[in-house]
Amino acid sequence: MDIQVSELYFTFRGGSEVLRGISFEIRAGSRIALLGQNGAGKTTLVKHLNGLLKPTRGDVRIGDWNTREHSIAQFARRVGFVFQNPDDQLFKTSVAAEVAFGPTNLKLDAAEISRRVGRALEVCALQEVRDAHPYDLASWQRRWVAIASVVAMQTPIVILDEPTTGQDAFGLARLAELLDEWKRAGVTVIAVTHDIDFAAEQFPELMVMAQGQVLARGDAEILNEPALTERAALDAPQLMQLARALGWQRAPVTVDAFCAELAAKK
Amino acid sequence: MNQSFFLDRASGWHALHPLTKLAVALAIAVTVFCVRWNYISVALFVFIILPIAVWAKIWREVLRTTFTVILPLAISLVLVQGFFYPGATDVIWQIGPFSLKREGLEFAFVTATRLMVIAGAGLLVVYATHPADLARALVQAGAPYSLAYIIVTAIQLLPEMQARADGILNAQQARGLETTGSLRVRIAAFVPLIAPLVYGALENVQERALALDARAFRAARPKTSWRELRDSQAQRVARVLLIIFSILVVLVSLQAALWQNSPLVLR
Amino acid sequence: MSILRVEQLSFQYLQANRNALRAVTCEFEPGTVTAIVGANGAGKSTLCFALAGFIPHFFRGKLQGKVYVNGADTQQTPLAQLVTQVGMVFQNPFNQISGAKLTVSEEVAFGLENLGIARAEMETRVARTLQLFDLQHVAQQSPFALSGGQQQRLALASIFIMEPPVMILDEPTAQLDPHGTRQVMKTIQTLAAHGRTIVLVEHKLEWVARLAARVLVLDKGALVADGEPRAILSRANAWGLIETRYARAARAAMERGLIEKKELLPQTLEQAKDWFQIEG
Repeated sequence: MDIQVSELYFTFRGGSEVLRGISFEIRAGSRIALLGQNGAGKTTLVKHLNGLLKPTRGDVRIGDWNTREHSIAQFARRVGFVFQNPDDQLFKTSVAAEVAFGPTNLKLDAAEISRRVGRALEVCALQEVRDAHPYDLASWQRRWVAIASVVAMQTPIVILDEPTTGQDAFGLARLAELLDEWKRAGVTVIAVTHDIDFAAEQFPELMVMAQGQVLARGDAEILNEPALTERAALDAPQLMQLARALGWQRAPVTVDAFCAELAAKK
Repeated sequence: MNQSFFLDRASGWHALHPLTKLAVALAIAVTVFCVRWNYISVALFVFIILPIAVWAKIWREVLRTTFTVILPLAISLVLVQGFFYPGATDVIWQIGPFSLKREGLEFAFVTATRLMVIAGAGLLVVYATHPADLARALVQAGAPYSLAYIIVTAIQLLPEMQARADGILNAQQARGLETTGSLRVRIAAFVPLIAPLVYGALENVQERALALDARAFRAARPKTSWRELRDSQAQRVARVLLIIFSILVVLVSLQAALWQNSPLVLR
Repeated sequence: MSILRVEQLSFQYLQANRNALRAVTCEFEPGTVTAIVGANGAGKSTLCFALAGFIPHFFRGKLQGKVYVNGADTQQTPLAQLVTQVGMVFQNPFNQISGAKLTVSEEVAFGLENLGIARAEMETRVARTLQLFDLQHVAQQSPFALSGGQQQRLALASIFIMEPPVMILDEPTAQLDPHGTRQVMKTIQTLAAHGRTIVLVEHKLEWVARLAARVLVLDKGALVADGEPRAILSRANAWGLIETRYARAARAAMERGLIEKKELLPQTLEQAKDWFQIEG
């Protein structure tokens, strides 16, 4: 299911213009990380992709649906959205029930719901706490409950808002596995993140935003442009910084690419 | 982002001690409830509240807020009481099976204008008083520090509550929760929307309590204040007089209720 | 002599089924920056709460062992008295705004009001603190109107002004963007330069390597390593920490035989530059 954003402008009621003429297309199965400083408009933009916000001007189409013409609840079939703050959604008395909430809203039958919940809990390593009250869990675990509750909806498009916040190495590894699984399933993933190293390693495509506009889109190589990273107030990925400091021409961003480059130099 | 009702303007009313302003508001509120004359509210609003609001340079905000709060109430009062006031007989207007009655309208008018005065008097205080000063004055008047703190922050943290409520609505709708439509749908949406708000508030309360403790909030020693409160002998006298006046008004109206023919009661 | 001493500290939260801390013993020298690292659930925040006296004065549970701040037993000293000895800054900048104040100046002064500091002294301290934390240009703004990084600097300033010799910082940059993180880290350096003893919980190991003189590692509630940052962080992957990409690339390069094996891995850009240049 493709995403089509054309000439999107957005102004908060009585406020400033947050998105200023954004157009792009995201093909089904793409995996894109959205980068930029706080206030660049990243979250505002992704909230347009499931109809939470409607354009002031311009159009957003998810498949054959224009976001103006369908309710947010309808878009829940097409777009899963993991919010930054899991506490904004948790309300059931067990983790399993919380994860079942989305599929239940999609009016799936009981067997299908329980199959999906089981799978989501497994992918998110929550089986051990499936009967726990979500609010008895630590905040990093609650994030995984929120992620699982979107996994279980099996939407063709998934949006993640700052998925790496509060994760340790185990959490990041699990997140990488989940991204792989989505890749195999052909799910489109769009992640808003400040973690530029994670973005550069896990996402084949990056989109850089500043002041309500998209400055650049492409693979990690686009970050090897100091004028761009400066304008977007981004750090370059660590290995890219290192390659530059070592005076290399090419600037690899993954450990593998870095080692390959190192081997070539020897 | 404006996180407070306080409108920082230079005026004599602003400069008054918060307790003086509270005493004025109290006297107005007591009068409007105790005097049984249908037009007392309008009189108080026009001859006391408005002049003070003009003096304090906040009349635009006072009028705007008062009416946005009162108007919907007034309309529903007129409709409900006008048509369904129990025991009313004086029909002014007939529409189908329904009849608009004078007694109901009168009741609606009195109630709506009373609320208007209460809102106006309250706004005179909160618009013209720095919340920290209000808290400090309440403590001076004998209220516990933590209570004064809660009153003051409750107002300031309202926008935070609103932002969270919006976030929750987003999160649940994104998981396919229908929130508009039939009554049944709306009732079903109640728990998913309210529960996270309550849970989240409890979580935040703990973090906030920790952060307050980290700043010696519960220190037993006497506190000082960054802002200085100005008071005067004249104001202290005025406050005592206003309170005596309020008590008198209450007593007289009590007396009027007990002995129907008291000469002191306006009719 | 150490300013902060932890002796055989164990703690189990009420209604928890396992210990959050297990027999932790450590000391902190005055004027040093120490980082605490560990995977989620390792007990980092719990140790912070114990160092700052919130355990046992705020959180209840089963406590064994002792914490001494400047010689005073935290269990015997009321919290309101402890805060002048040890201050704590939390993750969420927003929840640390008192909500009772309309301007940044007033907000910074809040702790001093509670301590009953005289007005004149308050003024000098507020002015000095705002300057130090680079908040003087927003002094008259609402705390709510600040950016995340500014709000967290305000939180740091609000604790600093009470002049505790020890400051405990529990992931102060976890919710900030890179710009805000840089701002706060710079501020922490300033605090250290002013002789404060700093205990910093931090996930971003490059910052740990840059700021801390010593690193403690917690794993399932136990203190499992304590020492010089580079030596400790070279083993980061053993404890579920997110290694810097410099360290990861270095290890991969060694494993692939591109570079001869070494004990210490690079943790910062400068270290990585040296590490790879000598070889390259």
